[in-house]
Formats: sequence, structure tokens, C-alpha cells
Amino acid sequence: MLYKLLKFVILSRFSKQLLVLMAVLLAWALFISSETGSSVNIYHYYGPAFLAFFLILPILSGGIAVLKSDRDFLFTLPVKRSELALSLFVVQLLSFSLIVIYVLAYSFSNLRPVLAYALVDFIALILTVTSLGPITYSLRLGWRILFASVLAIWMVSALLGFPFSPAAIYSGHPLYAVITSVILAVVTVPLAFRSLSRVDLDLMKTFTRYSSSEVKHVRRFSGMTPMKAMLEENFYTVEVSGRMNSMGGGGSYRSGRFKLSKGVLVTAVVAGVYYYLFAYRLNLSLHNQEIVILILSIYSVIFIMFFTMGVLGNERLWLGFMTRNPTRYLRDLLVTKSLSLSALLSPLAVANFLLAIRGDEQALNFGLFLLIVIPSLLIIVVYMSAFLYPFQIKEEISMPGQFNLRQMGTLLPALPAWFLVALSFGALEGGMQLLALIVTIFTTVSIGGTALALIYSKSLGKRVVDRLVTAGFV
Amino acid sequence: MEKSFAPPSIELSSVSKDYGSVHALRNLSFRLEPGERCALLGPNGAGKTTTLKILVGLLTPTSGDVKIGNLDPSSEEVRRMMGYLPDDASPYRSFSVRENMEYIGALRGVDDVSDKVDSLLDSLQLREYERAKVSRLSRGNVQKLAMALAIIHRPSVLLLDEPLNYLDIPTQETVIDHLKSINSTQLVSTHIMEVATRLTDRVVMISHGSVVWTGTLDDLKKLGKDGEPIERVVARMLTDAL
Repeated sequence: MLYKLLKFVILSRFSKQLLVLMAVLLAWALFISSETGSSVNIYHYYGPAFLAFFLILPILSGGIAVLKSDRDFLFTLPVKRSELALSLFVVQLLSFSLIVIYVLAYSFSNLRPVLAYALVDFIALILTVTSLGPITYSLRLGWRILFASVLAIWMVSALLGFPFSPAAIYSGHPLYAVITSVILAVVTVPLAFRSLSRVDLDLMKTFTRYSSSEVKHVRRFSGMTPMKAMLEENFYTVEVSGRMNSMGGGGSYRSGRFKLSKGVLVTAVVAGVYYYLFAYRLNLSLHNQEIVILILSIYSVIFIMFFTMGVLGNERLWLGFMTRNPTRYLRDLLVTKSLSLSALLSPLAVANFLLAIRGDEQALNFGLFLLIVIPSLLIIVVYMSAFLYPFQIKEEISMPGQFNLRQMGTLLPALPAWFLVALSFGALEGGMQLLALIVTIFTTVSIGGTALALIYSKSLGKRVVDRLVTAGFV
Repeated sequence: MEKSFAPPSIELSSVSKDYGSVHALRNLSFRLEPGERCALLGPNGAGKTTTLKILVGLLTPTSGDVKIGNLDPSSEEVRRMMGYLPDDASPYRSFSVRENMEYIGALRGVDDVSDKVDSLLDSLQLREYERAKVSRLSRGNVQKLAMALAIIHRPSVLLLDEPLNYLDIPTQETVIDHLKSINSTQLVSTHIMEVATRLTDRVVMISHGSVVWTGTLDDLKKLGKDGEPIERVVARMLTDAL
């Protein structure tokens, strides 16, 4: 019975092709980790930063891989709760944790002298990442942010030499790292099982809790022109939507919105702290500073992309397409959202430009990334998702459908961006400042230009509209 | 600025629509006179929704001609006079009821949006949910809101796909009264005979993308044997058409 249940639960969430790809990628990652013998210093920074990122992601996206049909059918079946919990735990492992193996496996080359410790540490951490979604999905946002922040600081503390961090394996404290990560797993895994064994009841409670909520400050659009209303909703208001997890989709769906002005205020404060730390406080060598900024560039793309894939899913095109020419509506929508994102990130971009003036060329790259490349990627990702995996969000909490290869394809635009950032970094490392500058400018112009070309291509716009109409958005 | 339009005619001439190898519509032809209320009746998969999407101007037919008052359905003018309610319509879920109505009203360039919203909130009995997030509404109230969004600009052409879905009986009566008070040409897609009889005077029956029969409801009733329910007559006609 357990085998059948497990098979059913996995195949109802992952296409067979995607499972095969996951297996191939896993084998490749493990092969690479056993073959390469480099001792690149980057993992000293990369490991803790990566672990911090992937520990907070399941908490913030509030992800549990539950389908609506589970609530309607699976949870009503006379299935043993322990078997159900185990099956759902395996699904969580597949959807949230395998990516940790893919990326961290490469750092094994750095950890050869302490390989046994590293294996135990990673297994414990993977179990922890798997457990965090089920434990936290029903918590209020404030608690989840607090929980995520504490865990992130704990991971990053390894960079500052704190030995009792699960990420301290990268900073020369393998024994302490293993002890803390095992304790973390021992605490979180039983809690996750408890949560998953009663997921149907908890989901119901979550629904009930939210069912009473009203909008606190009702926005008024009366008296606005169509363009002003469009700007008010898509530029001056930032909607952060997450039906995203580390596999690119699924998990529960969360949505929040805030005024752009307030968001810019927050990013300005963060930018000030960022500039102060890098310019005056951290005393990192230029080389290490560039490494950290490279890592930040990579994560910022992942983070933004997770939260922009829901742009179309949240839109109500049966309404929008009736208010003006559909291709123009789509263009106006994406341009305003993209500019809004650019404005939101602009203080961070300015901080990086100031760092660049002080001599950190990688910061110039990151600044342009924040100001132009990431907002352009929003447009490119939306176009990709329209063709590859258009889905409309009609219900919170449960995932929209099965994970499949097409869905993963929507993340592909990140690859050239990452490649170009890495190329620019490599050029800097090799002392070729001019080449690095050229690559940086090329990255910005090519990705920004691609977004513009997509937006202003009428024939492509019409094809996207057709695709969305036939996919049931209208 | 908002313009008012007289109800136009709707005309489809030999319209076909293919999705790859699937023929959704085959030489579909029918006409609605200005101000007429007509039901597009047919079983699941008959091509009703495809027909509506073509009339709304969001799908292009593979062949054939479509006119809304002698204009192309995708023209700016038709878009202004058109109200459309798709099946299982979902408004913006993170907005409140009022925000949805004001936002769409503003995007449509409606004058006095606030007054019109107030009027619709009262007539569709949504006032108590004005500030409620859509994601927390019952399915029936979501349907009422979707209806309000489709008619907020006082359309002179109204295309409705299963408009009474999810509504309880008192609410159905409210919505029926409201729709009948709107001066517009209305095409109501449904597979439920009761909906057709309550909202319209004439029926276009389609199956497998072609018109099977067209006529008034009285004509349809006359086709039945003594005491035969109208649903059974329709079922017989659609079965014969297979």
C-alpha cells in the first residue's frame, strides 16, 4: 500500500520526464564532485550563502506540495496517516531539497579532507530543508520572516567564524557543523511528519483563518484615466507573489502588495547599510568583495525570478484584454511592472555604482544587473512562461499542477545572465578589466534589448495573446 | 471618455475554427438582430466557448466572417461596447470587491466610476462584501462580482458564458432582472435549458461546431410531443445531430 501511495503521490506531482532529468542531474553533480579536485576559495563564501538562501526559501514561499485534488480526494481516503506523511515528505524532498544536492555537490571537492563530516552535514541539512516548508506554511508571515531571518543569520555566521553553525563545515569546523546540523534535523523532521500527517486539518484551519480577512486600505481608482489606473496598480504598487519553490513552481501560493514608495524607502536603507559595510566596515580585499558581489548577483536573479513567474498567473486577462488592444495591454502591463521593479531596486544599484567608483568593477556589473538586467528578465520570463507553462492562479494554498520539464524551461533565461556575470567575473580575476567592462555592457544591452524586442514585436505579442486565450486565461 | 452605443447586430458567416487537427467550429452561421436576446445552446465541447471568444475578438477564425454591427470584433469601438463574462470567471483575487470594480471601471474609461460601483454593489447585493478580498468570497459572490465587472461600462453587446453558474435561486432572480434591464444585444452560452428560457427568447443550437437548429423558444416547445419536457426535445435533437 505504501509503495502504491508513494508512486501515486510522486507521479501526480512530477512528470516522468522531469524525474528522469532530476536523476541525470543528480548523477552528474555527484560525478563532478568525485572527479574535480580543485580547491577554489569561493566555497568558503558560497557554501554558507547558498545554505542560507535555500533554508529561507521554503519558509518564505510557504511551500507544501499539496494539490487541490489531494484535498478533494486523497485526504478523504482511508489511508494510514503515517504512510501519507511519509509520501508527502518524499515529495517535499524531491521538490525542495534536490537542488541543494545539485549545487552543494560541487563544493565536495573543497571538503575532501572532511568528506565523512560533509556527507552527514549535508544529509542532515537536506532533511531540514525538506522539513521547513511543512513546519512553517501555516504560520503568519511575520513569524515566517522572523524564523527565516534567524536561520539565515545562523548560516551566514559561519563566515564570521562562528563554529556552531551548520555551514561551519566551510570555515574549518566540521565537527561542530555536524553536531548542529544533526540537532537541527532531529528537531525539524519529527515536526514536519507531525505537520504532514494532519495536513488536511491544518489546511482547513489556514483557509478558515484567512476567510475573515478584508482589505485594510481600499484603494480608489475612481476619477483616474485608464493609463493612470494602470500605473497605480502596476507601477506605484508592487505585488509580490510566490507560488514558487526551488524547483520553480508548486508549493502554496502567497501574495502581498506594498506601495512602491515604501518599498524604495526600505531598499534605500538596505542600500545604505550595504554601501557602508562594503566601503568602510567589512574590510574585504577587493578580490573577496568581488566574490561576494558575484554571489549576490546570482542569488538576486533566482530570488527575483521566483517572484515574477506569478505575474501572468495573477493577471485577469479576461478583464484586461477587454479594456484595450490585448497586445497593447500586455505590453503596458509588463513595461509598468518592469519599471516598477527597476525603481524598487534602484537604490541598491546606486550603492553599487558608488562602490564601482571606489574601484570595485564587479559592483558596476551588479548595479546594471539590478537596474536593467533583472527588470528585463521579468519580461523575458513572462514571455517564456506564456509559451511553456501558462497557468492561472485561481486558488491559494495548493499547487497549480504537476511539475514538468516545460515549467523548468521558464527559468532558462537566467542561464545566459549568469554565464555573462561569471564571464565578467572571470575576466576581472584574470586582470582583464577592459574585457570585464565590455562583457558587463554587452550583458546589459543584450538582455535589455531582448526584452525590448519582445515587447515591441507585434506579431510575437499576438502569438502570446493567442496562446493565453487558448490556454484558458480568457 | 465613456461613449454610449445603440445595441448592434451580431453576425457570423461560415465561420470555422481549427485547433491543430481539431475542428472546433465548422461553417457556423447565425445572426442576432440589434437588441435581441439569444441562447447559444449545445452540449459540452460543442464549440460554444470558442464562438464567444471569436465574437469577443480574442480568437481569429480559421475562415469565415464575423461582424458586430458591421465592425470587426477586434476593433477598438467594438471592444468599448462589448461586455464579456467567461465561464468560471475569476476577478483579481488579492483585490477587494470595490477595488476590482473601480479598477476595471477606470481601465474602461467609465465616467463616475464610484457612483456606478455603488449602484452595482446595491443591485447585485454585494454591499456587505465591498471591502472583502475576492479570495475569501463564496463562489456565488465571486460570480456576482464577475457579472458586475462585465457590465460596469453599460455594454450594448453582452456575451455571457453560463452566467447563472454557482448562484442560489434568489440571486439568480436578481441577476436575471438586472440583465433584462440592460439595453443590449445578448448572447448567452449555456448547456442548461432553464437558463436559456429565463434569459432569452430565441435559441441557436449547436453541436460539433455546426448549427443544428435555430428558432424561438415557442417554436422549440412545439417540436415536443404532448407534455414532453423541453429538455427532452433538445436532448433528442442533439442526439439526432450526432
